[in-house]
Amino acid sequence: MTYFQLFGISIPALWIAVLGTAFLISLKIDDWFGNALFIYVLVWKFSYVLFYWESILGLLYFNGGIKGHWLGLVSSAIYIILLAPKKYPSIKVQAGIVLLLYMYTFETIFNLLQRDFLFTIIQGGIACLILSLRKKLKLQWVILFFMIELLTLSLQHTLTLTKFFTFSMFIFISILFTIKERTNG
Amino acid sequence: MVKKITSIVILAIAIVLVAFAIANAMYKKEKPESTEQAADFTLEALDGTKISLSDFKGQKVVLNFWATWCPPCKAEMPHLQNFHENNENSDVKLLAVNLTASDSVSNAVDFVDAYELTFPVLLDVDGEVGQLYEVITIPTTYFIDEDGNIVEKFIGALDEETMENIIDSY
Repeated sequence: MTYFQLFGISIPALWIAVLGTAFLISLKIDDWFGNALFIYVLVWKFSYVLFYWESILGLLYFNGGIKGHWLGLVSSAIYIILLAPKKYPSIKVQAGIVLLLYMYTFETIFNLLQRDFLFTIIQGGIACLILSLRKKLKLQWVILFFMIELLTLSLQHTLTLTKFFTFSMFIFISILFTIKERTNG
Repeated sequence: MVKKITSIVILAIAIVLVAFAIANAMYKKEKPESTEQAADFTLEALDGTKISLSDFKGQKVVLNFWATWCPPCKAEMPHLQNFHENNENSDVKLLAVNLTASDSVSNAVDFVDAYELTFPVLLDVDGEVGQLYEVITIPTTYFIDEDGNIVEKFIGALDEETMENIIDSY
């Protein structure tokens, strides 16, 4: 099931998984996370005009697509790395685990929507494992869990280049904060 | 500490591998979801030729339903045109059915001229095909495979990238 018909239109399962995960995470995490998500969605949606400026009407219905995704991701990364830490000191402890957890929670919900229950359980199980280890998450573990995610996705044959680079970006930020946190004591 | 990391590594990898082994053993790849055959129809195109869906057996068909008074249809037309141009030499065919029963031929002609559309536009004068395909909200677009099975029914405006993604997925 790639699309769900809600409110009379087709909604990609991907969006439901992205937003569902964001909602769950935002319950426990400070505002920097919501802000970063907001920046991402805004850039992703409105970057449509950059690529299809000749048909402005489309802005109502369309988004920036894959190019908009990269622009949005880079924009929120800049926000998370450079701007947010000043206002939200808690980001230094939260960012590392949140991005790792985002990957696994997203995959859990996405597989659930695709009715692939086996991989829902695998991804959900590892998400719980990470959650239980959150107090002692060290650099090696962040990298390790990233590798395990890649292994899982390869076994399932769902590792696309887009997903690989998106998750790599998550892990890059995650590692950045894990190292910073350690050097700060 | 090292011991603990090791045990967690083993645990995590074990979860993945055991689950994968169980998966391999237990579920034989199910057939792709039950598919529905796209009903055949014959309609007259704007240029007067008769076109049937069955003319395109062996090709992937994108079957779009639209009307001139529908804003999202207007928004997606440049995308449909681009998609058509990019796939002209491949085995993908775009057919756009104008819901003429709730529109008019002259409106459709003006619209096609204004948007410089070059793909076939069929006229559903009696509204039968729209009813057959249960088109309630427009635009509605069906993606049909080489054997005439409906792979996806998409309701709402489609952009080029989404169309290409759906076409590539089957």
